[in-house]
Amino acid sequence: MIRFDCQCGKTLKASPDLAGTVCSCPACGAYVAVPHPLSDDGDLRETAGAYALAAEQPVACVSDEPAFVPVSNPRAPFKRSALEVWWESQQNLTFVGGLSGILAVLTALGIALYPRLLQSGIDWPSGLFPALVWMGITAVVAGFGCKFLDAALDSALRGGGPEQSPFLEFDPGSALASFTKWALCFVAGPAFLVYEAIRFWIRCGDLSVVNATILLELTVPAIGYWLVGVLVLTQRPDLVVPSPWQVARCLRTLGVRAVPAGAAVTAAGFIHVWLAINAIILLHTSWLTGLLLLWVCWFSTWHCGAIAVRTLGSWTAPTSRLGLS
Amino acid sequence: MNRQGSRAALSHGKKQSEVGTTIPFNPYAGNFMFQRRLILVALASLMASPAAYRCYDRLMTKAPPVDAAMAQEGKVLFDHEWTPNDPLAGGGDGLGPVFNANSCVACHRQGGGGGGGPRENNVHVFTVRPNVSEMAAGGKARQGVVHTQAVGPTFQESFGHVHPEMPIHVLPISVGPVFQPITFSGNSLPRGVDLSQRNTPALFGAGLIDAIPDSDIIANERAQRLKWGLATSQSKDLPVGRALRMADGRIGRFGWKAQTVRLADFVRAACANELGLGNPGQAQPQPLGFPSYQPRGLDLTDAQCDQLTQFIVSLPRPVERTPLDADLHRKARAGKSLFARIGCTHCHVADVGNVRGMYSDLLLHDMGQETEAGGNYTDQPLEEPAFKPGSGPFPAEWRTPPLWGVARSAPYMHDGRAVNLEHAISMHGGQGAKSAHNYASLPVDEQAQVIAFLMTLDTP
Ligand code: HEC
Ligand code: HEC
Repeated sequence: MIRFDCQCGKTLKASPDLAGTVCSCPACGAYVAVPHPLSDDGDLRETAGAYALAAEQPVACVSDEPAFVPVSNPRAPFKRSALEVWWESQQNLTFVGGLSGILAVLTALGIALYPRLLQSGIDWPSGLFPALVWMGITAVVAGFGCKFLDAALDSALRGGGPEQSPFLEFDPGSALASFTKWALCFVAGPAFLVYEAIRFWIRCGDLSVVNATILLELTVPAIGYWLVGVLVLTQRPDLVVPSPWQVARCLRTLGVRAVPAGAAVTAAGFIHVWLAINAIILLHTSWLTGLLLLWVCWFSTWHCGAIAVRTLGSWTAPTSRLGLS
Repeated sequence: MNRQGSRAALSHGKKQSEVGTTIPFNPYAGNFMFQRRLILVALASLMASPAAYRCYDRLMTKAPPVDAAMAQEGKVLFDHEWTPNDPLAGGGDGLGPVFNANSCVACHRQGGGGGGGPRENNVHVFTVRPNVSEMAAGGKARQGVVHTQAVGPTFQESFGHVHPEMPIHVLPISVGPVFQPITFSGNSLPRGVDLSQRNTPALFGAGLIDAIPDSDIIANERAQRLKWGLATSQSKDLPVGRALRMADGRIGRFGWKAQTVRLADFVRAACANELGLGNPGQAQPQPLGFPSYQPRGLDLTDAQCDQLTQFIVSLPRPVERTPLDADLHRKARAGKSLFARIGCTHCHVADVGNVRGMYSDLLLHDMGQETEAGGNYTDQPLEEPAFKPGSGPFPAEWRTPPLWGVARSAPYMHDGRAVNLEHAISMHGGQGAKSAHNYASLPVDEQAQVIAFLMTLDTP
């Protein structure tokens, strides 16, 4: 154990593998850098055995993944409760509300446009242009949502606190980049499973227990893979897509916690898909109600997404309050 | 030397760290690995079991082979001209008392036994819904068939029996060269009464349709909804169909309204409704004007109905003929791709499951007001619990008819109102209106190509 003092006067203990990272003090909530056991006069004798190897290899280089660069935030004077942490992920209501509104309208437009395009059969090319425009706009708008999730994930990886990435800035370029990141993570693995799931759903007959189980077995890994893939990519900005090995390694870090997390995310996913399907059906009969339901669906999707990435982020963060006492 | 030294140092370092962390001796360590592997294997097989079960289930459900001897017996029954007190009818009253023809083949005859029928053989179907005061008095909706013939004048049915405001009109009516909807000296039908006709469809390939699993029909339903932005089958213009679900969850596929699930059931209904041959599957209809008629017994046994079914299953399937003439062949090929491009294949889907070249999705489609007609060709009341509550076919909903064999099944549409293929296409309203419009806006030579393609869909 490493022993060191916080600015509030409390003596803290941390496990040696947290050395060099920033943690927040359980008493006052301030961020404190955990001193290196060899450079500082921590309890050397206790850690000497375990760190005989570390003496030859600096801690930051033990892992072959570039370590996350911790940023200390000395002005965080209060201890944050779990409720506060949750509320932080719920901030920016106006941003998400507006975003969901635009996305709801875009979804409704797409749903109205798409059948027209298909039905124009003979004169298809004339319909192609509006479709491309629609796709471009939707990608950018969805990109702002991806940036919002990125910011949540980023702040979780920094050990909590409000988002620091400038997702509120109007910057379509970075929004498109963020969308591309999420889209690439989806294409590199989950897309295949989702495609299989849809194909299976189409051909499965009315949903029996067996069919529902197969559908679940296809969607759970798909959603899980997607989120973990984004997680990996956020920690490794040098990569274009997460490789299956990195995803597997990240899953090992998560351990058994991945199971309840996967179940919860999948349940939320199914609820939202169900809601969206109903909203889209409603659009055909009463467009205003459909639009409203679509908005609710998008609004809730971004928030649930933020909670999910925050949770996953805090579990895999190199900097964390876990282990402090 | 130097290298060896550093290697020694390395191994020495390793030893040191091993010393630092004492690993307790665990005699079960190997065993534990084995256990973990066992758990993993068990978990993997548990995960794979639902998919494996489904694969097995799919592989095992095969249509039973045709019983040639039974089919032979069935052919005899299908071609047999039934008479009152027929010797083949066991202890029953034989043909009638009310009937539409005296043999199956009298209607199902175009292109050989089992084919479609001309308009003279149309069946008259009625539905009578009670008005508000009748409903209050406990009146129930009725539906059934007005039979064209009877064994004696006492039993002869007429439209007057359907509703007192309609004339005592002896069938058949108006079988002129041009189709006329049923009206009475210019007056429309009384309120609450729906009277329509059904043209005889061909039975070639019915055995294949019978063997299609429900899930393949549901697949069409889901694919169409997904394709058209999750629109429902209530859509008035998008070709989104729906599978007709029975109360027990099975999917209807036979008849113009897809009202029957199994071929065997349709055969039993046909025996009773068309020929007046009561059987264990369906009682023979009571004459509308003589409801106290007591049948002597059943005319057909289950075995006889199964023989008829086997005969229909044994009929060859329709074929897509390649025209011998090279020019016609080219036209038909171009027509086939046009058929897809103008949107006919939205409903007339070429393949359903393993059945190739059927050109139907077997789903109900809203075909517009012009086609509206109720009646389900059974003698059951409308509240009949056969359909899932609230999901019986609407008046404008029709099952997409398979187009295989369409070259020889004129007249077309449910009541034979279309004399030829062009005529049939122009009558597509509602969900079919857009593709009919696409057809109409094609240049004349391309229209001819589409027709040339349809004419290759021939009876065996
Ligand atoms: C009066 C003419 C007539 C006679 C006689 C007749 N049918 Fe039909 N058949 C029809 C009509 C009309 C339909 C379509 C009914 C509907 O869909 O509502 C039909 C439909 C069928 C179908 C369903 C076909 C499909 O693909 O939907 C079968 C099977 C059938 N008949 C078998 C028989 C058998 C067996 C007999 C002899 C017992 C018979 N029919 C006698 C007129 C006739
Ligand atoms: C919305 C789905 C739909 C589309 C699209 C559609 N059909 Fe049909 N078609 C039907 C239905 C349903 C019927 C039966 C209508 C009835 O009986 O009143 C039918 C009947 C027919 C018939 C008569 C078949 C018979 O046995 O009586 C022909 C021929 C036909 N369609 C050809 C076409 C062609 C060619 C096109 C493309 C221009 C087309 N259909 C597009 C649904 C569709």
